[in-house]
Amino acid sequence: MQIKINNDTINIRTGGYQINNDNPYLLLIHGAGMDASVWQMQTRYLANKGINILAVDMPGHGLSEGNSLTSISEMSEWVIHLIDELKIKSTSIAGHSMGSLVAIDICKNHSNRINSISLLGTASLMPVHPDLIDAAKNNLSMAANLITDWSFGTKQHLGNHPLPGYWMIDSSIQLITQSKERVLAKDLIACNEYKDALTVAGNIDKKVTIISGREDKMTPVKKAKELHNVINDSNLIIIENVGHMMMIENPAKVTKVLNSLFL
Amino acid sequence: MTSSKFYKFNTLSLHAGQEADPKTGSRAVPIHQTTSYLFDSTDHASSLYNLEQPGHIYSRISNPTVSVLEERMAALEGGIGAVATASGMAAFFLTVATLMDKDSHIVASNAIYGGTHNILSYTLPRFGINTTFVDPTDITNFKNAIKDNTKLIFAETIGNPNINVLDIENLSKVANEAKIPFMVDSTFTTPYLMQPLKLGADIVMHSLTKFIAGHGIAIGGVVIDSGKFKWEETDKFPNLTEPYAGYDNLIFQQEFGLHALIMRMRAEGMKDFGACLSPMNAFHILQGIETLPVRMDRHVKNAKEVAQFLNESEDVEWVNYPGLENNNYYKLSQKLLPKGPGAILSFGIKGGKEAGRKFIENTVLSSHLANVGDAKTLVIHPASTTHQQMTNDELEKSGVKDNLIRISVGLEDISDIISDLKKAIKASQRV
Repeated sequence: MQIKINNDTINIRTGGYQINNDNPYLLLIHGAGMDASVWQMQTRYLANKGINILAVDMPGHGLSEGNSLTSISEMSEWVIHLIDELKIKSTSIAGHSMGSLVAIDICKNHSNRINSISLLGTASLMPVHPDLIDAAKNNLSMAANLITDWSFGTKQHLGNHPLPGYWMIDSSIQLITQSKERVLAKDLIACNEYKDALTVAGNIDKKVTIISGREDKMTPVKKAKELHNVINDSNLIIIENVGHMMMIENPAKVTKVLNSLFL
Repeated sequence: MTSSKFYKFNTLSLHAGQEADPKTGSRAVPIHQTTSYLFDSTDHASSLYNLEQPGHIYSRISNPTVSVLEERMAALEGGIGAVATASGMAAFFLTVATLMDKDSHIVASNAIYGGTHNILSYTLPRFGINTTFVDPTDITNFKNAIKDNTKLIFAETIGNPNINVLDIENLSKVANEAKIPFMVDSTFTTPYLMQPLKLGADIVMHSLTKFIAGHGIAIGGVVIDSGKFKWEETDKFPNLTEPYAGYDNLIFQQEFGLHALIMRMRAEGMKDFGACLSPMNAFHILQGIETLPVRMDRHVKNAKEVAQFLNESEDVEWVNYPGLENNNYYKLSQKLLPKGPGAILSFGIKGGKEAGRKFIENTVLSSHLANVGDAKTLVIHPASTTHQQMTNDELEKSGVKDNLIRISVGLEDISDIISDLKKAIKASQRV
């Protein structure tokens, strides 16, 4: 579905199902330079289980119009604005990578709007190498290649995906390569500059599920554990043989975990 | 900062899409000779049917052995995904039927395989899909033929049987500016010699039957999508951008993003049209792909020597092979096909149609049959076989002369190939 926010069309992938206000909500926030299609192997299943899926293309990403936002706090405030516009009282939220920082930051000022939080491919800090930021600005193809290489586990570099005919490597490269000008760079800078994750996480009073890939080079397990250690009610799930893109690398496992939060 | 370290072509041709079977340790890709697959539960069954979870239901839609082939081809072409089909023609039809409905239009090169020419000329018009054929040697011809309802630009990387190299980069620009997807048939070149998606094409298809398999024992086809075409930027493709009643008004483009076309091809096309690839054929084709790089190097090496031999023969009027310096496409092929312009060439024997017939009938080692890309050397007379349904006017426009002989140069010892051709040429000149 699509709605207007600040005169910009915002695209929200619902899994192909209509929203039913009697059902619980799950808002899904994608990572840097990507869009909500990264959740395509979760959305339709969860939606058909009676969960209102709101996999949003953040401003300037995917099919959403507008300028991309420049800081994690700006993104978290925008998400709350989105929830307001949709007239949703409260929702569960799941964020991947940059999206996980947004999910954490929302809890700083808007914890009352959140039911539960899932953090995928997350870390207490997400420093980004200056050369990668530079590549994102000046050589998007190179940046897409590097991010893709680091984001997928060793085995995934040879494929064998459960979705017939789906080739992960070039899917990822193409998704990032087609991001609008400077969007990836702005996202990476936002991740790099966000230092509040540990502090905010220490005050989260909601149930948090952390999903981490054993081979994740972008947000290593040990950095996810730092968050896990400071959150009061946190469950850390480590998926073996996957990297940073676990919802694509092992879609069944991630879907199962997210679905379990609503059982 | 390090550079990306993806597996390279030779490695991908051997491994992409497969993990050694964890239960049995089988190193080779298992042949999953089964029609259907056990469901874990009713919930699992329902979720597979409803495109909620990845997995296999029925081998008409997908099959684990076929899926390895699909992933491998996508990996070798640099695409986001692939759908394998019963033949190259099935791959072509699947794409057309997924993208368009009646009152649609295609702009196609006139230098294409006779079978593709036939479906475009006679079969698809019955369903309201019409084609304008253009001479691909001038890219502006494609641009000039575009209409409001044009929904596909189609050509072959190397034209059949005139062996003209397509200026893919410039044709891609024309298609891109017009917001029309550009599909290229890369059967003659294979991803080892050229990766059309990296040169700007949106979709690439193959008859896997040819060089990809290389052994001439299995028919198959494949469509590979680059994911680059932005379906949402035009209203020409409602099958991807508007609700589909067949799946509770699912909008493929909105839910599957880059994978909209591939998902729709499988969910609708493979299910409804039924032109699936058998797992046994997929297995055979995979065996061929494992040696694709080494075979193609040898094919090209032999083809260059055959072309040189024919070029120097007094009884040969002309030779079409872009690897020859006197060929019109030599420069373009050096740019687009640096590893070589394939192993198919055509030539005309002095003496016209009758000499051509005699040549064919006097080959011994070279096989007279309707195929290309076999490990064995093949010869054919297109005007009387593969292109016989074309009118004289169409043949002339396509450059298919009546003395044209097409050779698909194989992997035999080059001295034996040339010896066979030499004897057949000599016989063709006897009064």
